[in-house]
Amino acid sequence: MNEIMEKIKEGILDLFPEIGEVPITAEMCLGDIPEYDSMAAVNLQTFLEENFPLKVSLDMLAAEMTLGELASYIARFVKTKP
Amino acid sequence: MVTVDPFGIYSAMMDLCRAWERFPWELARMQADLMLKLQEATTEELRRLLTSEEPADGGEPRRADFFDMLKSGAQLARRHHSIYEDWLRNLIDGAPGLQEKQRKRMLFWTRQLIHSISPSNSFWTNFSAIRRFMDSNGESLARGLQSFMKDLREGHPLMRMVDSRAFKVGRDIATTPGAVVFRNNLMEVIQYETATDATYPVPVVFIQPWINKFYIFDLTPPMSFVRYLRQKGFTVFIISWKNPDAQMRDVTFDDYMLSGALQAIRVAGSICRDAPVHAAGYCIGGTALSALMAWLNREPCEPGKPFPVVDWTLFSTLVDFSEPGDIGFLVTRKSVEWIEAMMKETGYLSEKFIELAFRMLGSDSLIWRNFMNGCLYGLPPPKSDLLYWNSDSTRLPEAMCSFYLREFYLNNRLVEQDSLHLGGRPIDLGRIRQPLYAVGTQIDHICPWKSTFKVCDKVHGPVRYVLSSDGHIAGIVNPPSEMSRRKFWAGEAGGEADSDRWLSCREDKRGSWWEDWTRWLQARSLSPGEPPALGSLKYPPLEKAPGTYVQEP
Repeated sequence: MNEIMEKIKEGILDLFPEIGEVPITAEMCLGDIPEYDSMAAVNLQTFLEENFPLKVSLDMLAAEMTLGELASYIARFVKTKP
Repeated sequence: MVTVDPFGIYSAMMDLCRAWERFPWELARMQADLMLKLQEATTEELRRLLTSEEPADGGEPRRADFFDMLKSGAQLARRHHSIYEDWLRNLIDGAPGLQEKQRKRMLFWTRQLIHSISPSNSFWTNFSAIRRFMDSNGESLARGLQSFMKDLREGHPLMRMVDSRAFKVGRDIATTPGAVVFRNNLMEVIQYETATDATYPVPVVFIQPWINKFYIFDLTPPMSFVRYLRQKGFTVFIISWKNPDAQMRDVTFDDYMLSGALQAIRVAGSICRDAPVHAAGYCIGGTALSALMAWLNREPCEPGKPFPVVDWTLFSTLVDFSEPGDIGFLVTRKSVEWIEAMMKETGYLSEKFIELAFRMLGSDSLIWRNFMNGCLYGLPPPKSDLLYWNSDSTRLPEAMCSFYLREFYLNNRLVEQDSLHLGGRPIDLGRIRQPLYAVGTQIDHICPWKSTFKVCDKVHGPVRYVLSSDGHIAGIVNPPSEMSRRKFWAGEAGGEADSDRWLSCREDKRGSWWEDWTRWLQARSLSPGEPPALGSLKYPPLEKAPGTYVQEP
């Protein structure tokens, strides 16, 4: 779970460098990313698809989703993989 | 005559200067404050760089290396950028006596500038780009520059936003089975095969926007609005517009309304045993539908025939263009003259121009983040059905485009009673009595939701308004799913003029508004019965969906 969270944090810093010094925590909502919109969600979706064995749907990557919730969802999916 | 400053940037800037001229001491104080903040940020960043040399756990001190300096430099650039951004915004927000419209204009164009000079867009001030470069022995940047040059050569100076080889219309998207049942020189009408044993007698007719292609409602199967409605027991028709060329320069807005929207409604009604239809228009398609509803209500129906539309729906549609949002900064009297001069040469408004305008409305994502990923990081463009559609732009015919920009955006005549004459009839939205379902989206750069709300007190039938989270596309193409984090607010809004008051009385609901709309449609759809055939004697199937027009470049 922690590994997943770290990977997500790394991806967010990489994809959205303008986030600057906003602390990236499990409680952070995707909407806290400056100018987060559906294109940003597509970029994040692509990153997640490349780094985890699943496709997270765009409607999950809405502004209210927290990083902690996202990591838990991915962890559930990863566990069920053979 | 083509003018300099078509977007009024220079005049807004001069107004801003004049606003501050009378307050030189306040301006000087702001400038001193800016210098102080920049200095503080620089000192802090240098201190941080130097303390990074101190051992964290009593070990050997280490010298900051080249990498640390680059990281620190990137961090400092970002802080300076953010300080300048706040300062400029305050300068404009606080300009004494500056006219509100000019203030908003300056904020819009300043935002364009701020996004373009973000440190993330430059290799040496984007630490992730540097790290990728080091990790890949320079491959990432080499790959990125090659893609940039390739896109430039192929006419995409802003770089492609999507992997165009990942999708093909009719193979991966727009695959719902159906047939073209009508074609004229403006559109094809597609009827989809029904998916249930019994269907509602009242079909749904989608009047699609003719800016971009129709298949935004038939993307990959999980995202397809058309598939969703078929599974709910509806017969669905959709308009696929012809992408206009120079020969269509004289096609008017009236043509889109009568030879397009009205004709599609007639075809659908005829195939479905003369039933009236649920008509639904999206964006400019919704504007045409609104005008058509007023046109139809102007004169009594033919004797013995029901009114052809049982209810109507607008998705992210403006009928009142008094506050069109950021797009209003691109559509000015001077810019329209400039666009008209361009169209005189070609007969149409180029798809490249439209694409550029839309990308400017969300330049942070649609231009600069795309450039960062593609050029500085050397990443391939994403494989996204939504972005594929977004990049499949269309042209606009000269006559229709000129009329649309002038009479809707500049003169806002659709909401003036009997001011606009279309198809030989004066247009009065107040005559519309049929129930309306209108959807706006919370983060919409093209049709701001508060402006879409303005339809509620312009018509005289019952109105249910829905505000969806997300933007102009993702808020509408919004399939229900258990994991969805999207939300919406819904409620009656007939005669309501105050969107804030309306919203303050609503509670948000989690998920997609599609289910709410389905229930609203079902209430006027009659009892399900035998599905209609695909086409009819009068309108036989001509070709399999998605048809020919959508494939035309």
